[in-house]
Amino acid sequence: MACAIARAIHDGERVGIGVNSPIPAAGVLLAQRSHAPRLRFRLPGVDGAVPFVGSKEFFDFAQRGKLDVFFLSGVQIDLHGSINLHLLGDYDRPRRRFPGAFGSAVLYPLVPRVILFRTKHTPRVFVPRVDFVTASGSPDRVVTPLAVLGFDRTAARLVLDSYHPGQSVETVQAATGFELPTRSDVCETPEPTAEELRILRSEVYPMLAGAYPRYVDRMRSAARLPAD
Amino acid sequence: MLMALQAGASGVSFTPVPGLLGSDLLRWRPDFRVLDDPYRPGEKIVLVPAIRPDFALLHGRRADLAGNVVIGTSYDDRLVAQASRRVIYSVGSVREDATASLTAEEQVLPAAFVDALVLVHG
Repeated sequence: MACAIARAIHDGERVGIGVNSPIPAAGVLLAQRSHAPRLRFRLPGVDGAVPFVGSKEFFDFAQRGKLDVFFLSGVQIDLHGSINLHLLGDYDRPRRRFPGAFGSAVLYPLVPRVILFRTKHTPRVFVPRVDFVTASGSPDRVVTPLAVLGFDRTAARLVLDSYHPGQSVETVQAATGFELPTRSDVCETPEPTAEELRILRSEVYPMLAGAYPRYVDRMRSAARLPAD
Repeated sequence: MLMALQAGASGVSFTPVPGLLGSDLLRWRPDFRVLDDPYRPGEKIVLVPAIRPDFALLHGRRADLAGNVVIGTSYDDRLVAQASRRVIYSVGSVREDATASLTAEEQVLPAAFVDALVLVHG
């Protein structure tokens, strides 16, 4: 997922990474250390740069159109790319409640390229219509453990761009709760290269270990790497 | 919410907020109004009421004897303090030279914004 995100980032872009976003953080740092050395980004708790003064300054920056890329996720994501960070069930009698929008309703329609990410790809996550539209916009793409979904702006709906190694058009469709048209050039997502994995393991994970220890532990044990 | 706090801090009753269109927040918050933007013909703009908390409980790093508080820059505590009717700050220490040297991640909130200081130990 981090590699799929890194490849979506262009050199020189201004990128914002929110809280609780280890995979976008890894992807952006990988991009910066490979094809996008002139990236400018805000990565709270990690980047070591002089911080913005509060979230207000960051939101104002984005609202003025200065931010190129931002990352969002959702408990549910629907066919139209709307995200739900509020609740499951009926608004007046929800089954579950979640923390809420935290600015996503402002940023999603305003930031030119919003990349959605979700670590679970199931029909309960990818639903025809979210129970509550926290924010809507036109996502640049959606990155999951199974696939990269694109967005058809004319039809205003998600489509299948590429399926990860080990998956197929059929398995991704079976994990999605709505009909997922395929792009004409749909293909397998290219495997992470040896160089991408080297940068992630030797440079990116050590940088993220402070802010995201559990993510880094999980990635290292998956790769059978020793902890720090 | 940050813009609504800014409105509270600026003493106006509402603020325009960009974005938001398409969110169900507009369905469930009748006090959020959608208007034709008077300065951008053809575009809509959302208005939300200002937030003025009755009081704010905030924690700063240290304070000087005049009540000026050294706070971090990463959160929006300054804005919360400016928007709130009463502001109570807890600090780890009070000393004369508290504001004498600051790191890049520190700023000073003038005592004028602070109604009460609480010294906490440990």
